Order: sequence, then structure tokens, then C-alpha cells
Amino acid sequence: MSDMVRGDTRNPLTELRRGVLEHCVLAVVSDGESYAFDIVRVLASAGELVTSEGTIYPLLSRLRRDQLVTTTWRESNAGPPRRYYRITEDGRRALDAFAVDWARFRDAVDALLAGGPGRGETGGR
Amino acid sequence: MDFDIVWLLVPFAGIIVAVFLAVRLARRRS
Amino acid sequence: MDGDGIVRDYLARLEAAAWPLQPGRRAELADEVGEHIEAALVEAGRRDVATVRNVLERLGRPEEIVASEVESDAPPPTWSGVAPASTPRPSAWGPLEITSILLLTFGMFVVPFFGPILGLALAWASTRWTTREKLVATLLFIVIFGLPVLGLMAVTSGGSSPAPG
Repeated sequence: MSDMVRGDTRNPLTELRRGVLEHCVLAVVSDGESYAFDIVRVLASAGELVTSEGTIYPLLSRLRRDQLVTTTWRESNAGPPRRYYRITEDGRRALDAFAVDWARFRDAVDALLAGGPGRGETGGR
Repeated sequence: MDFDIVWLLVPFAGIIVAVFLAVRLARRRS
Repeated sequence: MDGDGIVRDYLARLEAAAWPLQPGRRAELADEVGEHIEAALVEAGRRDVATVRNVLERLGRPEEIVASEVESDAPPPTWSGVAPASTPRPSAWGPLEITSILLLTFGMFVVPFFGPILGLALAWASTRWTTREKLVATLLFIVIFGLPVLGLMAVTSGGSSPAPG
């Protein structure tokens, strides 16, 4: 879908969130299994990561499709059976690669924002 | 015959035009 | 409308908004979102209108969720936040264009005299040159080829004796 409809691309963080979010989900399920609602809760409580909680579900679907996570249905005493998500080997590799790239990216942006090389001590304007 | 020169001019013209069009097309990729 | 009514309404809107999705995924998404709402309300311990509205607000508009689903089918933005160029730009060099150029250059040896002219005709048929470029090309051809010929014709018909062949 080349002309993607993006309702709120005025905010640069929107684009950023979308790309980063799937790796955040991978991080959440990397040390054990979790069900969807729980994953959403963890992400929401981590900070300004999720503007629309419902969009996590398409994301989970894509992670399943790309086989970065596997799922197991488990009976739940709180109601119907729940789908538990767990990271795969491919998912772990993707997460590790992301962690490296993200650290570099984050450091570079932080340095520039803080008035790094070439920007001078007084920073921007 | 003079008109043998036609056999030179046509390919000559063709090459010039080909170069022109090719350059145009090459620029289009940028 | 009570809380449950609002939930039903929301799910109906989600179903309607989800028309671009495959039926299987549509149903699955409806289930997932439905379970989410249920779990959120259980966690909140209440099902009154205000609580429901909060839950649905955090969930986001059905259209947004479906948009996110549809986007998932397309290549995602690279994680650095920049979406890649939407479609790979098609190369300007198609078979028609290549043939045209080749005929113009070597067409003389393929079909004497008409080869290059055929190449020019093919250039006109292409969509990858503008009409202006085609006109310039044609004029170039006519001028480079035609003027000397006309000149020769004028000279020879001028009465001077033809040069020995």
C-alpha cells in the first residue's frame, strides 16, 4: 500500500513509535510468555509508547506472521482460553540487532540535541 | 552519386537523436 | 445506552471499518479487541459508561486499528522512524525505449534507411519521453538528415553537373 494513510504524521514521534513498537513488544515477551492484554498493559505503563492500544493487535498479528513470536493457547480461570505469546529465535535475533542499532541512534540524537559536535555550547537558537 | 551521402546521414542523424533521447532517459532516473 | 451497549456499538464499528481485511483476520481482530475490552473492564471492576468510555478511548478508534492492520501488510517503516520510499521507482528504461535507441543507432544495418526511422517512431510510442522531447528528437533527425539532403537536391537541380560517382 504505497500511499499509506497516516492520520497524525505531523508528530515525528508517530513515525518513530510505529517502527520501534514491534521491537518493544519483542522485548516484553523475550523473557517469558505473555498474553496480549498483559503486553499492552506493560507497554502502556512503560511510558509514552502507545497512543492507541488497539494498534498493538495488528502488530502482534504481524509478529506472528513473520514468525518472530509463537503463540500457545492456555486455559484461563478468568474466562475463555487465552493466547500466550513467546519470542522465537528469529525474534531474539531481531531484538538483539535492534538493541544495538537503537543504542547508536539514541546516543546520536541525544548528543545532537544536547549541543554536540558542530552545534556549539549554546545549542540551537 | 551524391545521394550516397544519404547512407551516411541517416545513421549519423540516428546516432545524434539516440544520444539525445538516451541522455533524457538517463536524467529521468534521478 | 449503557456501558455494554457502547461496547457493542464500538465492536460493530470495528467490524464495519474492517472491510479491507480478510474475513479470517477480521473475525480474529474482533475477538482480540473484544477480549481486550472485557479484560480491561474486569480489571477496572466496573462496567459503567464512564469506565467503558475510558477503555475505548485508550483502545483507539476502530478506523485507526484497521489502518494499522492494513499498514502491516505493507513494508513497515524502518525502525529509525523513516518510512522507505513507497514503491521502488520503475526504471525509465523499458523494452520499447531500448529498442528505439538501438534502432536509431544501428537500425541502418538492420533495415537500411527505415531502421532509424522506425526507431524514431517507437520513441513516439513510448510514454517515457515527453512530447516535447519527441518533437525535439524528430526535429533533430530531420535537420541533421534532411537539410544536407535538401541542400544537395537544391545544388544538383541547380544545374551544375553531378560529381562523378
